Amino acid sequence: MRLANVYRGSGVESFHTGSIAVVDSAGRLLACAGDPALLTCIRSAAKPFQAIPLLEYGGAQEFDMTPEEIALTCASHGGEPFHVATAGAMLRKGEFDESDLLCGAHVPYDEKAAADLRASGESPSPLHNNCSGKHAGMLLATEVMDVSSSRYIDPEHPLQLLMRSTVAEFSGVAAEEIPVAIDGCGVPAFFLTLYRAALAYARLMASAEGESTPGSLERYLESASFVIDSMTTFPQYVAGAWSMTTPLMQSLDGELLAKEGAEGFYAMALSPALSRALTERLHVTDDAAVAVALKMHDGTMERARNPVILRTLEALGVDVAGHPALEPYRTQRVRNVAGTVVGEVRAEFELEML
Amino acid sequence: MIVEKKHLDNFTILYVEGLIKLGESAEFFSSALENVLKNESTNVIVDFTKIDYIDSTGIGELVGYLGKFSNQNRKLILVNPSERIQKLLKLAKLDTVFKIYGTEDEAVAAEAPSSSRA
Repeated sequence: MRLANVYRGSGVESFHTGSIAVVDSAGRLLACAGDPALLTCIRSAAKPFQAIPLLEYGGAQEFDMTPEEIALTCASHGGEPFHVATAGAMLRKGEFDESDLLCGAHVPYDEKAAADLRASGESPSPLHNNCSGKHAGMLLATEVMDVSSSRYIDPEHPLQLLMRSTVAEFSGVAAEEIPVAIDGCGVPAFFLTLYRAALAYARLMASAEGESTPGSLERYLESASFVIDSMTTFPQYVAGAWSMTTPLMQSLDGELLAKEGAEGFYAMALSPALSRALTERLHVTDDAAVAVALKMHDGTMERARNPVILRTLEALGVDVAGHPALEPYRTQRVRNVAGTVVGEVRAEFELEML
Repeated sequence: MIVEKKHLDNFTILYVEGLIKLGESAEFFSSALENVLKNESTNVIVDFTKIDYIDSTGIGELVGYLGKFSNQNRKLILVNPSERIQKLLKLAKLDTVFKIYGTEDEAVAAEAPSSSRA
């Protein structure tokens, strides 16, 4: 389905298609656009679930982990100095160092951090990798699980198998039925339908709310709560200045969990309280949490995905216009070679409310 | 949860106290609103000053009854709701629909028909 139009002047020059699923924690498909059954790779949106095994094995207590460190474990961060320092501190808690990270190195996503690094004459290290917090968390998880930390990224490593089964539990799919590929940082990447991805996020939020919330997974109440509280309290650790995710979570002030995945994927979970406040739009009549999974079919990220994310929230009844920090992301300007604005990318679609 | 009720001019004022959450307290809150909806014809002021906590069930009841009172051309007015309630109403764009005041006196003064203020 066409979700975003690319205008040059007043004419539509091209467009981006995508699909969206809005699902509550009881498994009800509430709204959609395009194909909610689209099978896609959730990429880094798996990170909140990949943090769960570390917490379930007592890693937070064993390593006296802070909420900021848990948020970084779930992050696609910009490689800003506080991200790098926090990832390094996490490694030291398990007597690891950056040479143990198998994520590879890339230039920080954050423009200032990248410029500062270039100016210093230093090369990027694995700590600058947007996934370094996740990898540091994985290394710590191997310690509390008492399994080998070498080749911790291999799909058959016990930690990776546990992560796959955790994603399976939240999404309600048998682990062996989740297609697995290799992510940009070397760890397994999971394929889910948009419906299942949204359900997983809704159930994560529901589990954090407590056992009386429809769809909550009783055994994960504590770890889900730790993940969500950490991410929503410290959204600057989940992404940083490079991404809309941080101002989005800041603007919704603890009522929204948001996480990007590469190639145009995005997931969000609304708190049950916000879901109920939106009841006239969503028709949620119990305390279920509501979540969204969306995929831009061509993998576009900032260009069209951000406007589509905000339009989706708006279509669900969320006040997006009232937050100045989100204004720059509502449309994406198209510039010519001289830098003059000659058009814009606008999200223009309606959700089908079911 | 405790609910006390008072009538003043064209208003029924509900003073709620304690917790409103899934279970008995939310049902009690809901039945108090339902009772005013069905058995009276006044506008309603709900005073949240002594509410310590309201969960998503309570918020759902509140939003649900906003629609029911509006359908009868009656107002559901909130006094001193918590910051979280105000934030949620704003996020859901209901802050322009719900009238919110800091005190009961402010609510009555602002919402009373002009004839009764004179």
